[in-house]
Amino acid sequence: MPSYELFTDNELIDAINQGNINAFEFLYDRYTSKVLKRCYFICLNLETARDLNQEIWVKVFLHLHTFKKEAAFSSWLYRLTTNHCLNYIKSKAHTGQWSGEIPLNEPRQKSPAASIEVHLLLQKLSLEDRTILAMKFLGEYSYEEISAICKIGVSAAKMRVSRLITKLREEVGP
Amino acid sequence: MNDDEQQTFEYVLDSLDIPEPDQTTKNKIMKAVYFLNVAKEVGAFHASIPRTLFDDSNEE
Repeated sequence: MPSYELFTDNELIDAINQGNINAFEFLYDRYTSKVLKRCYFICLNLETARDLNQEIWVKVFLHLHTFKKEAAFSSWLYRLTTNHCLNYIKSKAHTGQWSGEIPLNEPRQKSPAASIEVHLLLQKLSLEDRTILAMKFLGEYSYEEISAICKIGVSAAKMRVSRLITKLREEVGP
Repeated sequence: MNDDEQQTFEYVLDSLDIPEPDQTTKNKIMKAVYFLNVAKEVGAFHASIPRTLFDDSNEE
């Protein structure tokens, strides 16, 4: 078996597309914790984030042949992650199973104090604010796209992102 | 994109201290991928068989 750990993302993708599913394991290992973190950021629930992470990786395998390599694989993956999570929340909200309220007991008790602080801060943000941050920094949406999806002006979208980042910076740094 | 903003955002993500995905999850995903890959190969094989071989009509 070739030493896949030395392969670039695009080389791994070529191998997977040629039917070498062992290469998929290396791609998974390289990115799964980043995907899980991003899922958690949007839904703020560890079990849900784990389920979404699984679904996303199956989706990655099914749609990998559509990745054009014009941009970095990570950008493609994070946009897919963001869209999948936001669609999940939208479908739950639509059926009344998601109110946007997050239980305040979610942070792990053994987490360092700084981590609990961040969890509590994110829980205080509205779902809409977290969605805007996710679109901007996880999905790499442009302000024009955010403006169209959220039905707000481009300058309002910019201002909102800037305000939210300032808030995060003030509370948790760096 | 503003690098400072992205950096702050990445810092927030890292500060969440989310546990690494477990081995069971990985096994489940790899099993699903294995079966999907088999299905893809069977599908490709099926598609490669000339349609006339499936034709059981008695038309001359």
